[in-house]
Amino acid sequence: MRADNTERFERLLAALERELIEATDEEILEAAGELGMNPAMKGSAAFFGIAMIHVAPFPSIDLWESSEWTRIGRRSKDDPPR
Amino acid sequence: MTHRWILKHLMQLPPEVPRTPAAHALALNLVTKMDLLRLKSVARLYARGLPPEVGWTDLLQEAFARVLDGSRKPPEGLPMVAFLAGVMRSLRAEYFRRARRAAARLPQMLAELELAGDPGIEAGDRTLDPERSLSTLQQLAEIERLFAHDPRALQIIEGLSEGWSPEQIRVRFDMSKTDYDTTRRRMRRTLLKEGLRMGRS
Repeated sequence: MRADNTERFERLLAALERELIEATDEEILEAAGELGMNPAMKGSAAFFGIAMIHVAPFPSIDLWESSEWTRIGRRSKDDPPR
Repeated sequence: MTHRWILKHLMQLPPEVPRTPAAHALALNLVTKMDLLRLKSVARLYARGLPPEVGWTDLLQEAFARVLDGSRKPPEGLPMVAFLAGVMRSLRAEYFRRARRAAARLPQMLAELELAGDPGIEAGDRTLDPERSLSTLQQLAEIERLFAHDPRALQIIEGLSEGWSPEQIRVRFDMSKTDYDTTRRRMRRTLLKEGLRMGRS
């Protein structure tokens, strides 16, 4: 019997996750190079959203409420810098 | 006008931009820079099907935040990258669970407000499921579009979504081991390029 679409999709995602986790450093550098990125460079565009923060012009809806990440996002301008 | 708006926005940015949880983890040597890029690609994969206000960065940073605050502890022997990918997978599942619960509560809330007026409506109605099912079909089609130029990759995708082993996929589609391995490498490269590109979506 064929599984429903949601189940098939989740299975596919899990398989593709393994594929990405097993990618070698060389494969990652090659893929980045094809996009014109050089991850070895300081401030490389490859790291936007990872090591560099996105500051959204409008606040987005919080999905998870109790985490450090949300606390950082909610830090008041009057709080001392951490 | 647009430039003035951007300038005004930039002037309002805090002088010190806080370090992201991922950057914290990098500083602590929990992961390498290459691991961050692996996880960026995984985050993009798992952000598929989530609503637009939840971006891949949210998923990625939340996973790091939970590891850093100790709420998720990696079991001994499991590599950190695999563990963080698993945390993202479970965050995604957690999102859908919450959304289903909220959808299930809706008819009851409406009934309490005397807006629904239909006592036949069950509190457990899964009103979100048709939405998710449609969204899933769209996401499946999007992944297939990534490999539209590669019929072998599409066959592997079909096999993976059915849960078949590599051997079963090869037998089913009459693929040599070399052909299978080469196709998987091509797929990995396509996925990496899709995962590493710029942009929030």
